[in-house]
Amino acid sequence: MRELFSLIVRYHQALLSGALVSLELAVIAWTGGLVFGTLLGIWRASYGRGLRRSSIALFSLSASSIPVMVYLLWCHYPLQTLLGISVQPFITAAVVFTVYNTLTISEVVRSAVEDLAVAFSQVAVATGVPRGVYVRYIMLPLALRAALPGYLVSQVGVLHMTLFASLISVDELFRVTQRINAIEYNAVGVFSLLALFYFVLSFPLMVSSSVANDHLAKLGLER
Amino acid sequence: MILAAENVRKSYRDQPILRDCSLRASTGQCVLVRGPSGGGKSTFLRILALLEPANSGTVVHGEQRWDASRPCKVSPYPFLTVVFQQLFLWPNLTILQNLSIVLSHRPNDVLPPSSMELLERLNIAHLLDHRPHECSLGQRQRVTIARALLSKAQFLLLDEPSSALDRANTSILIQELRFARAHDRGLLLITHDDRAYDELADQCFELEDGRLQET
Repeated sequence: MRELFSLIVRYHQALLSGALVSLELAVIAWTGGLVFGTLLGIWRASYGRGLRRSSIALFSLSASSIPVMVYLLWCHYPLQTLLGISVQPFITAAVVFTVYNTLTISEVVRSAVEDLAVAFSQVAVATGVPRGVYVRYIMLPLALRAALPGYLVSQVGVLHMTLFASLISVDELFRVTQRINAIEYNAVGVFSLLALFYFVLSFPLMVSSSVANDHLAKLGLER
Repeated sequence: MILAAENVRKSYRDQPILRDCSLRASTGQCVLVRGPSGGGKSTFLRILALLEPANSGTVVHGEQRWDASRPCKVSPYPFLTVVFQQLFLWPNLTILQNLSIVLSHRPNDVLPPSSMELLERLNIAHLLDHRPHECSLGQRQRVTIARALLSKAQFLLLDEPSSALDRANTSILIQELRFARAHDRGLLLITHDDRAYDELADQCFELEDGRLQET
């Protein structure tokens, strides 16, 4: 414990800057994914039909079948060479994580909307509740609640995904801790600190997901 | 006003559920459809409400005739409304919001005194701030019945409306249905063997082996 504390004191500036970069990446991917993924998910569930629907589903499944690390490396090296451009690694990482998270969240939201009992919308039809009122007050709140546990768990995944940014030279926390370890030769201490950082951020999200699931069970919406 | 089904046929996986079923109900009348569980009564009700297509046949809502074999995107309301057997109250809304959104299309409107009187009579006025999962099955059933009675629908289609009600609450329900009928609303009641509605019914049908026969 004293060892960990001593590492924090000596490298607090480097650790803080690495942690901030990791958090920035995560927040960008969380926000972008939440906004675009929710819109895309609702659109896919409500309006995507026929060939358009199949094409998007196929694209989404294909995109999710390739590891994010491969996208990251591909977008950082070959793509930029092909296009003859040079983009800062942080921006490349932020874009790749946001796109990946958008696809993940759109899938969570789409299945939550589609899994809503058809009867809920049929009751609205049979009682004359207009479609817009139904979507605003019933469908969206129910679907987003049902999607919440899956959303929280996937956002923990996004936070962990930021580790890969070190592969394209982004100075996020993992890269910083590797550098400190190279100086200190204290893998136990350094990587315990890294574990502690991710634990402190991830554990509350995991607990929230579990609590949300229990709440949904009460409403009869558990997934 | 007439609610009618003409020669409605429906099969599931080549298994006939409804064979040439015809029925005619007027406003101010109560029609009872009885039959064994799984006999297709609820399917028939859903076809009448245009919520599910049949294989063939016609559904008549007043002046409008609908080809029952075509999926219909038109709301049957305000011609009719349905009380589903599985109730389907919206779980994210309170009881007040469940009622208010149907009556005024806004979730937080105050209910008029006449609506509150009905809720008092059905013994559910004290539940307005509760969510559906905090109410008993019988209370939820009375809320869905209130939702239908408070609506402006000319016909009420009720699928097993007293399956979770005790005798006292069933009597109250029958009184309310009688009142609705007296105010020129049409009722179509579906039940598997409940004799409680016999005195209310103007016409009784038996749905057995897919055939609807007046009894």
